[in-house]
Amino acid sequence: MNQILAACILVTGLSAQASLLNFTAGTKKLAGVTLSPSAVGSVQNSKGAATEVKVTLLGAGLREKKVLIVDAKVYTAELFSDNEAGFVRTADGALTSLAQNSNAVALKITMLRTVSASQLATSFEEALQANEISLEGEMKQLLTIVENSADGVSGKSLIMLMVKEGADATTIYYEDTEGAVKQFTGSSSLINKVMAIWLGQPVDKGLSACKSQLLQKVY
Amino acid sequence: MKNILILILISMFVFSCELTDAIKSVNKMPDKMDTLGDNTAEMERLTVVGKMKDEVENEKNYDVLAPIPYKLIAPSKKLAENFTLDEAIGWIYTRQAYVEGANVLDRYPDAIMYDENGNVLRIAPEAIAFEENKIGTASAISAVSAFLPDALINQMVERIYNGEKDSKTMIHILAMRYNFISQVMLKEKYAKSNLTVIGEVEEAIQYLYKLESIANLHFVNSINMRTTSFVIFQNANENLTYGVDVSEVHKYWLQIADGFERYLKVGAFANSDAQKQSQVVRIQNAKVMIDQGLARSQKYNKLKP
Repeated sequence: MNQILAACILVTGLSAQASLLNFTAGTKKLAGVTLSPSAVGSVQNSKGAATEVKVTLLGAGLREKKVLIVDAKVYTAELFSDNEAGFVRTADGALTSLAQNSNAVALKITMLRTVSASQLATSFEEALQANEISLEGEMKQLLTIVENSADGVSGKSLIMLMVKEGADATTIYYEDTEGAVKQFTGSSSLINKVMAIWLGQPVDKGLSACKSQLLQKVY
Repeated sequence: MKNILILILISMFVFSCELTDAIKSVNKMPDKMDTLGDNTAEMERLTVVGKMKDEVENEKNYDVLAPIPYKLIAPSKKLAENFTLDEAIGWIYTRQAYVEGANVLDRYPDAIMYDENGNVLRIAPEAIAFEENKIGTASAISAVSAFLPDALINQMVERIYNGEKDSKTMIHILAMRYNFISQVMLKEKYAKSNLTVIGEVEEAIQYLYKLESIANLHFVNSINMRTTSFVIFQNANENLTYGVDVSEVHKYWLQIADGFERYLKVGAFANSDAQKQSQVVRIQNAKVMIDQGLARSQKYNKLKP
């Protein structure tokens, strides 16, 4: 009986850390990371209702960061949406079109070097500041989640999934590199704010190059 | 009898002379000991300089250069602390001349193979190693420039003021010092989330003072570096071409202030109330320095309305 109980507890624990999205196998690679053409998943919204999510790869970019002389590879970013046709592949149009025309947006970040959770949060914070997005309220909530989650360990992935709930709200799900998922529901502009990190005003040359790559179709 | 007396007198004279010499010699001994001590210290210094130069010039220490050139930090610091000003200028000049002057295609003319459309087909591994070595060298001289003691930097600035020889090299040293402290020490090593104990905060402040002293120089706009010699890693030309962005001074004061507020833990590892109290005093002092730095650096803040 004890063994059955232990097994039940184990299964419950594992399901709580099941991946937010299941990614299909792809054929193309970027910096050694295989790019997934699409992903599906099921999440619970803020009212507890199950929501099916099916997203398609819009683009993929390599985040490099210059340190002194060397451009260090930090992560690959894969951008997904449930409305590929509504994505405008231009530097000026990408962010607005993504936020307006998608009901679900996902970003999968696969780490190419280990970055601590607090450093990840700091880098997101700098990019948000460069886009003049307030770090209070819902963005503070997101940065706190990132900072208090697992480190970005080399070779592992973290996922941000944003799903609109009607016209006024968006729920964001953050899965860290250990598979733990945290979520909260914010405003309807959450996708626009979060994705400004990658598709808004680039904070440095590395993010600028990453943004250019994200605008290119992969499959 | 008379002869014996003369002999005794001569002996006494010679003995007294020897005694006088011996006494004089003993009197001079502390000076000689000092000289010997100085020579020993100088020998030790030269040995350290030699060993550390071997380390920072050794390409095995160039395999990890980002985010922090871990293997270069310790020998670069030791070398910088033991260099005389002239040695530092001479060594940095020759290494910088190698980075800027050595062209991979002079050494390996056929290193890069192209197809008929001008696309690169293959790059010879030895040519890649050649340029990687130059990148490592550039990192090493930047690190040494960053760790040179403030006293040497002050002398260097005086020489620049006076139009002394090697001014161009000394200006490059200031540029590399600023860039390394900014990009490696403050941006990476002392990133705000790393400011968890007071010692880290104090160290970050000290490095920021070094940046500030360069930003305050009246010829700051003339402090720059330019590199054009990389053929394979062309982004290294861009990364090694820079000036001094004085707005970073205010940015880093804000960073330290933020890290201080959010991440610093008072006496997290203290074993007694006295240790904790001592840290509280240091934290109070650091807070004063941060507030002063923030106020002082407002003039550099590009975003200031």
